[in-house]
Amino acid sequence: MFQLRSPLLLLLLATSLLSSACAFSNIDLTLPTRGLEHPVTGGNGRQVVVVSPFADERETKWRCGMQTNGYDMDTADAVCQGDPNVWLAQILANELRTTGFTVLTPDAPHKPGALRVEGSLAKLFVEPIHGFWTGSLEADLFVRLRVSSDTGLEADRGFFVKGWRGGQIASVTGPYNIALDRATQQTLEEMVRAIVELMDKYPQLGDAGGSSFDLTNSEAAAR
Amino acid sequence: MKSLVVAWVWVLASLGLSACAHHQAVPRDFGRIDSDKGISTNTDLEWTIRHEPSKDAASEPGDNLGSRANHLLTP
Repeated sequence: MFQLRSPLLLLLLATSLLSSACAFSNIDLTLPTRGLEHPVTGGNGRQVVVVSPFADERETKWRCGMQTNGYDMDTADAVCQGDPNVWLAQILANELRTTGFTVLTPDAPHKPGALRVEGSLAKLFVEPIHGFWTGSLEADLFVRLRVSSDTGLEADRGFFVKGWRGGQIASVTGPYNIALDRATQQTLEEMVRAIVELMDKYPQLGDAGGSSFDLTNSEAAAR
Repeated sequence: MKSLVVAWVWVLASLGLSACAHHQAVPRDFGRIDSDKGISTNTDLEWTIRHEPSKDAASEPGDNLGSRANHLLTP
């Protein structure tokens, strides 16, 4: 029957342990902070108030993704390195500033037409999607923005993006982060373009002036 | 013995290697797909406007301190 001394069986056993173990260890998910490769323009100094952190409306708050084996069994977690609700508000504020907006904190003096941006994170989850012999990593990012102004504007919009990464080893950190980075870049671009579009639609919004959003303090608070 | 080895290799492939080896695949039936960027998006096509801002807001003088109530109470 089994002859454990058989070199072939020992080799197979070792290979088995090595190849399957990768799906059983947790992954650290780095929240990407880079801005858009091709920044949007059109802020024109108009005032935007970014409320940080965003509200957390995720069904699963204790992890940001998972590992699975070939049978789609949940085998390990992908854990966010940092608070994703603070992170989202920060990268949006940074990108709005790059776009040319004057970004303010909620307690800073502002014009009545300043656009107040409040967000909520409805989903952030990265997971492998298996085919029979193929598959990919998918990062789901679902953000809702609610905007308002002291002059009476009330509006909202949902931003739902999937970033994916294929052709790589799923159970190492890199592809997870690449999938999330792609989803983040697209979501960020869509949010900024949407804000520019909305403020262009209502020219009375966002008169320039005021003090800037203090990213340093927000980052410190996030730590 | 040979069939046992074949079965063992199959189990390995299923549990381990197939969990790790991945090739390009795109999400199906999800929004607007951009294969070059590796994304698909199902973002709302436009804002839902619940209430429009007053049209003469830009001409209102001065700052407020972040309170909508203060602004609305100004005679």
